[in-house]
Amino acid sequence: MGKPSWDTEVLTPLVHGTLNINNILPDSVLQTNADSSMKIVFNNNLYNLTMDTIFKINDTTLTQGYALPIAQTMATGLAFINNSTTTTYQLPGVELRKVIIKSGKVRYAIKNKVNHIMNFTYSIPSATLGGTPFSIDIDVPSAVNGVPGVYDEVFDLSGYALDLTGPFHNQINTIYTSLLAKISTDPPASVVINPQDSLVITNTFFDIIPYYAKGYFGQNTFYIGPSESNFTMFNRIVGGTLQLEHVNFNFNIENPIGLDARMYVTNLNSTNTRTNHSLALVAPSLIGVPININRASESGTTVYPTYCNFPLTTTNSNIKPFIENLPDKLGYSIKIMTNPLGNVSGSNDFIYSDKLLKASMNMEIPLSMVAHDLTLMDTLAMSIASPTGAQNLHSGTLTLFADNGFPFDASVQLYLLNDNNAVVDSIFGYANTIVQAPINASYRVIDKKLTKIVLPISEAKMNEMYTIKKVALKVKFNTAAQPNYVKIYSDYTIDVNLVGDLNYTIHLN
Amino acid sequence: MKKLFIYSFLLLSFYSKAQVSVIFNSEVADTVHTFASVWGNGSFDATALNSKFVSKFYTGSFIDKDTKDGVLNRTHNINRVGEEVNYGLFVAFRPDSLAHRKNMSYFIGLSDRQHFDARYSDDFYKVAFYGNASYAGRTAYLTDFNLNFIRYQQLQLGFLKKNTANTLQWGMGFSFLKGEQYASITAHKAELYTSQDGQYINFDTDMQIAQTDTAHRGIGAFNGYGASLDVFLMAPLKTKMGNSIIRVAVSDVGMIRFNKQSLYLNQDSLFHFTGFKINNIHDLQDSTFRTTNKDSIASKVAPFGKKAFNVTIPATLVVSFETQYTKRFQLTEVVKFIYNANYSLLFYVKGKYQLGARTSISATVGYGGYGKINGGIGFNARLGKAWLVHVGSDHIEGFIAPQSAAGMGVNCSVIKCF
Repeated sequence: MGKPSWDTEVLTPLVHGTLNINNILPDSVLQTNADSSMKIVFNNNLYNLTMDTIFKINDTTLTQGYALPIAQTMATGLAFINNSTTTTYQLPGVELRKVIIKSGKVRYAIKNKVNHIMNFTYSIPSATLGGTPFSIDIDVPSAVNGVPGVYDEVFDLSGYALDLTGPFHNQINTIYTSLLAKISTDPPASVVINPQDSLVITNTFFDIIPYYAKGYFGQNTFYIGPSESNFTMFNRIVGGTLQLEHVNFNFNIENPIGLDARMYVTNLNSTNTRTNHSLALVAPSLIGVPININRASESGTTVYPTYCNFPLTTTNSNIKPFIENLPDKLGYSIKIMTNPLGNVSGSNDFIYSDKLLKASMNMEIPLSMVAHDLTLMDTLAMSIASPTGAQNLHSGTLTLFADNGFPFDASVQLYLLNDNNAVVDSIFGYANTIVQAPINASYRVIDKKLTKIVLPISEAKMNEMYTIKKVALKVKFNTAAQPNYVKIYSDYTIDVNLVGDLNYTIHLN
Repeated sequence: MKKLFIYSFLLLSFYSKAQVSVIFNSEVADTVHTFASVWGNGSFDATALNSKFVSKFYTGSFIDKDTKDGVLNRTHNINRVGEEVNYGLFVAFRPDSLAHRKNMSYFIGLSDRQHFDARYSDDFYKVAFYGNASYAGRTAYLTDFNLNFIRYQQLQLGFLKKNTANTLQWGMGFSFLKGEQYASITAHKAELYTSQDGQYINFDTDMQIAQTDTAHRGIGAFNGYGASLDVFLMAPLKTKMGNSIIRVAVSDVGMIRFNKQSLYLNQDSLFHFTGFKINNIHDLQDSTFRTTNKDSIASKVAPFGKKAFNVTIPATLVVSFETQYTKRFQLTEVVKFIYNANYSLLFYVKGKYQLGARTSISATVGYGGYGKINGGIGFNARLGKAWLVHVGSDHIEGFIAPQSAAGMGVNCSVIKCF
């Protein structure tokens, strides 16, 4: 039997839902106030002070050669080299005493020109893992016909704790290694070693990234910026204006580093790249004022950060127009001085790689607003194509029933996007508006308002829809009772029901 | 003895799917003690569907509006459709005596049996082939829908006995059945209501669905086993019109027990469908459709369980009265009914004319069964001393009038005498 097909006209609900403001506003954290009105709580990270800013451990290579001044006959098993070496990192102004390595390696390469196998014991007494020092025993092949025996191996130092105080614990930034080289006990019983029978040992520490560091991090000044940070709260807004009744804004600094600092926020800009409008924050209590940041403390591996908080209100700043500019970028310039009072910790500054000094902005924006043609646009994955490639839908009518319980009108348009996100067509061929719900004298919604939007879809448009995988949803909002502010309450919902009256070809499998 | 054997086989297998036309062949010589046959038949008929529609359906073509309208014009409140496809082989023996029993004949047969039938309302046809849009604001009554499909393989052993005192002949056949595939839908109640504006659809249903293990299909699948019995009786008598024979045959009285991997659903529910639920308009496709694949929907709407069940196979009753009017002409009146198969009582008349010593032709005309008026033709020929051939059709009306009839069928057999 084949797979017959025939056309039908199907009248069916496609999707339905009751959406509250949580389902409508993207990427927002909404909270409910005591009066059930809603507010947006938004946290935007502005800047992180990383460990790299304070210090960086560079790759270090130490090459040493060993040779006898005159030819000697040496018994096998005899120690040929037995010495210790210290390597000091150049870290201007920074005096590290301890580092726990997050990731990093040591490369150990030996050229053996002695005509006998050499046995090496290489250790880093100051590098311990679980209390056990790093140590390796290796045999380096003998030279053959003048060609030196070669050993070259890389060892992982991840997790090792490095004591950087040297062999006598009176140094800083110093790695201490030791080397014991012996003539292998393999026969013959003795070996003649000539002056040219040297050993060349290369020892490289590379890609060392600390997880934890302790010491004195120095008294340095860092200038950060001018730079920009993304501000995602309004990134789907593509047009219109928004007036907010209140804005509660806090500039916060969290310091989990065992380091005193003094910060100056020299500039903070609200930049709307869509309108090319930029507005500088005017806040005498914050901008250009020294902010003293106390060091964090630690107990074991537990860190207790310190915090600085600067509330910005409509009375102490221009924060309301700053936000109403609907920024998508925040520009900033910051100056940070570390240890402004010197080494007051007795070289007990500390830092964890995953605990960074953060400057952020926390906002609480009550959803009491005036939206005028406020236009949100979002790209959605949407494909009606069948995995088999069958195009069963040909044409028809989509009817949107929207029972709106929000105090705003919403005009909807759907754009068909190609693979390059370019608009190839729109769904609605005419203006449509989901009508706002009726409100009372307190601007509170008292009932829902049903809007029916009919959308004929031609065969040509349906064919076009089969080719796309994404659509852009564009919604334009206008709040009720302008210029008065209206609040959005948690019990506000919109019931949507999309019905299809579709010409559908059934393919019987 | 020859006629006894052949007539008995006729009764035994009369309308028991093909054996009737295969075994009933009076051209088998008296001296033949053993013969074998391969045979096959297929037939389709329907009260509303026409053969144009059925041809497009079976060949996988697009069924256009004219074709659908042609069927709609023939559709009534209750409509029926049925199909059978059978083929097999048998070997028959007629020893002079066996275990001191005389006038006994025996046979063994192996066949593949397939049966489909359905009963549906006009609303069912309209919704299925036109969609539900025309039912906006009203109910489509799909109630009393019934569909059965069964395929099984049959190993049959049988005998016939002639009562020499009164020429009464009777016989029995015993079959072991291997159940391959079964599907059944019975909707005692099925009402589909589409709201005027399409915002919801209600489906109020009380139905049972049974289906064999979907993982094991094909002729090798052993999804169940069972047994069946055939009984026949033939009584010659003389009438003022000529020599006559009354035959009564009941075949395929039995059942198959399908194994516990079979799927079963007994549902009495009201489904209220308002579309897929939107959870987030910014993640529409994933949040709405990710978890609503075909399987998950099916498991929610129709949560099948697994269990073994028994199925009574369609059983056939045939009563016929045959009269030999002249040396060349024979007329048979037949009444036939198939139980458990949405079948209407079939009455037909069959005329057979002997063209010569080696060939004969036949024609039937009747009413009922899965269709309405139906007709058939047949041709029998003896080739040489050892071969007998039959070609015919129980339904030719669909070939002749594809717009107004559905019945189509073909049957054929080849017998080799030893």
